[in-house]
Amino acid sequence: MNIINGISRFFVNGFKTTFIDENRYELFLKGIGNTILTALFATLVGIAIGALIAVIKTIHKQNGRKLRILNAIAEAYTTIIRGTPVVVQLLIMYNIIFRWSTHPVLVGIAAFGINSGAYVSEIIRAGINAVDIGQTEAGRSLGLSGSTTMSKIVIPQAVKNVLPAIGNEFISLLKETSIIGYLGVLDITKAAERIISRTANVYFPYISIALMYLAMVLVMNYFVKKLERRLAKSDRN
Amino acid sequence: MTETENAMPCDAIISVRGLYKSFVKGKMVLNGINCDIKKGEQIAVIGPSGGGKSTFLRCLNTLESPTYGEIWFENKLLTAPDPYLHSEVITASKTFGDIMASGRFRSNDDIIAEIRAKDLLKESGRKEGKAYTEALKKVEAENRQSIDLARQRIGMVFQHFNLFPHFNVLKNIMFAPTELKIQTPEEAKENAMALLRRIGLEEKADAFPSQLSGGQKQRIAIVRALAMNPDVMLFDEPTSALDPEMVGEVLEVMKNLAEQGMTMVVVTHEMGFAREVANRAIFLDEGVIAEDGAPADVFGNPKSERLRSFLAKVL
Repeated sequence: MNIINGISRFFVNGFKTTFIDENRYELFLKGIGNTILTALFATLVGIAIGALIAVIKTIHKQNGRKLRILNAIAEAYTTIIRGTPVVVQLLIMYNIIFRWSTHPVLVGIAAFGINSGAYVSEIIRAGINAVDIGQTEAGRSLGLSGSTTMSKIVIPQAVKNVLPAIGNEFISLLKETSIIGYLGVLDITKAAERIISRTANVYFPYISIALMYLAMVLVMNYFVKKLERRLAKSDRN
Repeated sequence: MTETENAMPCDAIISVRGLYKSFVKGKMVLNGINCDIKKGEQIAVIGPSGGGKSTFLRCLNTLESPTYGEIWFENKLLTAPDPYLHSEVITASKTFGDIMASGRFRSNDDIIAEIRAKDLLKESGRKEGKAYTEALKKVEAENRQSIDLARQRIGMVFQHFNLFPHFNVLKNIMFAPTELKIQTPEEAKENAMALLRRIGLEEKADAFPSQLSGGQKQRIAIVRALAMNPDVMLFDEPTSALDPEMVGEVLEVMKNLAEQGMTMVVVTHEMGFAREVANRAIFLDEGVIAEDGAPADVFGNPKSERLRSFLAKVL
């Protein structure tokens, strides 16, 4: 009996000090807002950069004379971004490149977006490569221009291939943003740390935020799976 | 390279001049091909695999761009001009000037022949001087046509069909004519349905390619190319990827097309088809045209040992 009592007190107390006292749930709400905001916009930035890099690399690969300089820049970009830790990139962005900025959330979005762009570019490039070269040849042999063939024949088939992978990229970005606290942004993780510094109770806040991340990821996962199924169905058409 | 003075052909639809193609440095797949394809000809291109048949066909609409040589379509140049094929370009080069100054040759023609025979022009056009690059540019400006315009008049059918899987049959056929604003959507649809009726597949208009058999796919692919009203049709082993029982239906469509007088170039292993339908047969071996003539002669009276042994194997 005592044990059960003790456990329930632990939970009630933990819940109270973590969420109720001093309206601490507001910290979490704000944190969730910042986490989702950062992940969402960073994904959009990542897709924009990634698509650009992918098209540059694909065009250059098809014809080695085209876009030589842009391709070199793109190669350097992906090498550097994929070869250094995202925390280091974040700190460099905040303390060196965007030193003048007073909006750490924007710096975070830029840093994560630039980071994600390198990975998304590989996803999109693989998606374009996965479309049979015969599709391009068929389009071109009918007299369609290279850009029409790319945009109306190849890209629609490529998008189908990569949509689920981009959804997964968003999910991993959502988790990666937990380090944005380095910039003093109040995200979920930072919210937990603040509360711990007041209550000295580490168990409840950390477990809570783990569950929050998990819940968000599961919801996202559900939508990605649904998307995958739908795309697979139209494939069988 | 061979005698190709005045590279401009006359009555040929497609004209191939001094065509060389290599994919890997030092290994030529096509080794100097000259060939005129005239209106109304149905040409069967035969030969052992690896002999360059498909590469030759794919060079005709420059899906492969030639390493050397030129492709002409209806008197327009589809490739970059090849300096060796234009004597006025050669005479403008520094190399020509240098040889002339050395006084070793008597006439300009001898110098040109020497330069051609020994491949003396420098790789980088800039090293041959301004007059040379300008002469080359002039040839290009006078003759070159956008490849996309030419390809609208050159239909192509692939071994693996290459239908667009995200479009239904009707859209596959209508897409290029409407996208290029050659036909209105209504015209294109009417035209597509008429073509589908011709091959007896009108009930498949709304089907997607994945729902069709190989033979049906290839017939649709032929019709897709025909929807552009091409002047010439190229077939790259159109029956090689088909189950045996479907070969006949595709050949039947091609036979009909031939009877209507369509100009066709067909790379094929179907010797029966080559013999009966084609009115010209080309035997391509080791990157050169080894024999070229009426099918009756090529099949009935092969001159070279290579062709004899090839026919012995396939017939």
